[in-house]
Amino acid sequence: MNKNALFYLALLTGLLFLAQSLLNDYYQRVLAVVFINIILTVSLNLTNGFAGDFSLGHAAFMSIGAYLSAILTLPPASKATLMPQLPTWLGQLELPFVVATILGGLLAASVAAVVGVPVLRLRGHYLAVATLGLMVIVRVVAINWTTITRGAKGINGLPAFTNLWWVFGWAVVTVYVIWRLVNSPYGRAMMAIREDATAAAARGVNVTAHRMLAFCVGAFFAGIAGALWGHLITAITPHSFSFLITFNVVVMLVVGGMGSISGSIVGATVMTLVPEFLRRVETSLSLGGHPLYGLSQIIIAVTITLVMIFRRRGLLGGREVQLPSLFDRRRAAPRARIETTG
Amino acid sequence: MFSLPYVAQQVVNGLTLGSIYALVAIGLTIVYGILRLINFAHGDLLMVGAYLALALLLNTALPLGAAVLLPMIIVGGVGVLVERLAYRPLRGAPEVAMLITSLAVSSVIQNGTIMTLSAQPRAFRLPQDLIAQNRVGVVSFSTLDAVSVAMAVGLMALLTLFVTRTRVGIAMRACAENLRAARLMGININQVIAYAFAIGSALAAAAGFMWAGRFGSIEPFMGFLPGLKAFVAAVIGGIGSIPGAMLGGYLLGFSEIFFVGFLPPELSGYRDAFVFTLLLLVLLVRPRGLLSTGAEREG
Amino acid sequence: MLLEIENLSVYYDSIQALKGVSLQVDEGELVTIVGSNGAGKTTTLLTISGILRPRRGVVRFRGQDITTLAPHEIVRRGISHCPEGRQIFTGLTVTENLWMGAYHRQDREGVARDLAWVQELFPVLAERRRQLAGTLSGGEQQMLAIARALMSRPKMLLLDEPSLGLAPMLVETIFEVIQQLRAQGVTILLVEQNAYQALRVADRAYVLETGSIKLSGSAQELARNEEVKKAYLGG
Repeated sequence: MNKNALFYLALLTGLLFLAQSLLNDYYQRVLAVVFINIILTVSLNLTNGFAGDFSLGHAAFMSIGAYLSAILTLPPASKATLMPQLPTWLGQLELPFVVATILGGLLAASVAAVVGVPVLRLRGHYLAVATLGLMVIVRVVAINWTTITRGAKGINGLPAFTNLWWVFGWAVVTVYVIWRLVNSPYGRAMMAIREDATAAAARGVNVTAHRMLAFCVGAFFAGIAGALWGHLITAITPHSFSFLITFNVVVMLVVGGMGSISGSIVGATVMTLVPEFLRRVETSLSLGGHPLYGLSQIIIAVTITLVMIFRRRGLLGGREVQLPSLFDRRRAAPRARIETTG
Repeated sequence: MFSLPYVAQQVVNGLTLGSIYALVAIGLTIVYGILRLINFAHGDLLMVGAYLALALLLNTALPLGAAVLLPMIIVGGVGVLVERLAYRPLRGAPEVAMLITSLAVSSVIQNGTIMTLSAQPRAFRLPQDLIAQNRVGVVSFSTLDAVSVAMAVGLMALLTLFVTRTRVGIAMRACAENLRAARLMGININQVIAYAFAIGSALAAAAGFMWAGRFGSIEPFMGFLPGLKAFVAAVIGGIGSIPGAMLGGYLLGFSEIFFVGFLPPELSGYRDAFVFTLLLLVLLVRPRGLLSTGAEREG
Repeated sequence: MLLEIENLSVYYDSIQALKGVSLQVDEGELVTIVGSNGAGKTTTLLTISGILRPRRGVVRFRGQDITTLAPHEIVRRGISHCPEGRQIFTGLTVTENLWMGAYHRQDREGVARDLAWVQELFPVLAERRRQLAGTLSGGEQQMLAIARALMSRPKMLLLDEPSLGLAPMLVETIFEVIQQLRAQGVTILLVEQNAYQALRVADRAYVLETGSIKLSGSAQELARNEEVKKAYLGG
């Protein structure tokens, strides 16, 4: 990493210290959700923005990451009462938060690999339906596999490990890994596939392998985000990770602009804060004594439709934001300019 | 093993459920065939149809036929309106833009329903004579089952006549095969697309009545699962193909019912997981579905 | 002038495919555009038909500006386009394909008359009328494509590479039909890579190179032109 990046990282770290000491619990929580959404959006961007497939599987992968990490971090004593039928070895296992989180991400990535085999051979849009199907499968398994998941009751009393530092750290890791990946030969191959899969294949690019790589890495970070989310809210149920979450991540991605990492960061931030604000307004609004629940979601959905019609490339138009360079005298070397399709 | 009446009962159930999936899948397949759009809002039109039918049943003295037909007409109009407002401005845009927009439309319809009618599930009560059980030989079925299957078969027969005998219907097949050539022939594709949305949405509304009648309660999110499963049915049959959607719908209906009815009861909780596992298996073995069309020739 | 194109510029995203093309076709003429692959011939036809939108320039048909009309409006005004690569509807029967060509017409009797007319032009289509178009041979498919384009009773026919991929005998047949149509008063704008055949039947010709008109004149003149001979007629 260059000096510039280190400077901005230090600046953010400082701001985070400030935030931690100045903000009340509610705002700290909102900020943590912003970082989790950055992880989700940046990782979804890898599949949907750079590789040109359209996955709607983030809720499913979050769910997998959240459940596995919850089972791994719960103290054996709580597991004995909550899940008495757990296999003994699992019941006595208690792993550090970071290990549990990584394992949650790995399990999500493995599931992605299995689902990817049939689906990634086809055009990208089958992935949309198949990954929504995966969400249904994961939910059904979570409801029915009661010995592990406690069924519809869900698991509560998760240790509240997630704090601003964890989500910030993981967001930095996500952005760094995906930025490196996108700017590597793998990433360029992914974009070549997005533009024209046949031409890419003709040039010797292994299309399926690259789409698979994007899908699995995306799923890994979704699993991480799920683990962080679970240990922030401290309770998970089969219905925690619904279609709504997936949709909202898609909205963040699209508002920021598919194919731009900085766009995803902006999109995730804006589309976390605005709806949060709208929701607070919504609960105080009513029309002739009739509460207007759902209004904020409608506004979001209409916004996204308008974005699609009038500014299809999102706020940043698929480009990357350049932070002002403080150390290089020359203008910072241009990063890979990324164009979105259409 | 299983008794004959029990098996017959499962067949009736498979037939009813299959009819619903087939009707919903047709709407998805004709729109996908022309626009390459996976319309995620399609299931929500089923929900709107069910709400409208309930409103008519509760608040008016209209005959039952009208409680089915009127929602079909209204929802058909809603489908056309959605196309006009949300999808037509995106003509020529990348497919993914339409897909995202359809997710947004779905969210608007669901949340609009929540805002105006609340998220609370409502009981969908049908007149007694529709719920009454009939018995023919070893087979027992409710009048609703019989009406559903008859209606679905009738609608599908009408649709088949439409796409083989009428100018617009044939044009619809032509558009699904080669949109540009269709435009060069002087076919007004916006008109054909409007017909596709009107027909598809009306069929979804009819399916909404059957679905609500079968499960006895309705709520704003009820369209999500049948919509998604109908897409699975359309893919199994070969997306873009109307006979494929019908075949896929019935195949899916029967497999789902047989999965629950003939396998150990511990597994029945997994029925929705089974449907999507089936999708993955079909994609693995026969990626273009059973009756594939030219719709996926780009690979 | 039946068709006038003025200073047409067309882009695919940022790539310019036509750079200020102008050409005219008079009533009753057979005009051909020759040029190599990628010169912009098909782009020109697709822009006339309203499938592509020009960034600059005007297309006038019978004195009226049709540049921004929808494709189906343009067909209604009397321009019919028989696309490159036939593009018949393979899942429809031969007769259904022909009906689609007459999609906008309300006069049932006229349609029936024209159905008889094209079946007379191409007797094989009458024999195969109930067959799915996808089961026809390549030459038969090309005949169907032309017949389908004629079913709208066009004042002007745009023909894009009608001889492409056909056996020499069939090429002869297709060009005979083109001459026959012309004799019946159909104005034709023909795009061909087979410059020899095209220049033989045409009245006038334009040579298109990388998006601009390089040469124009009577077909006989151009067939004698040394540059044209070298580039398109094999020396």
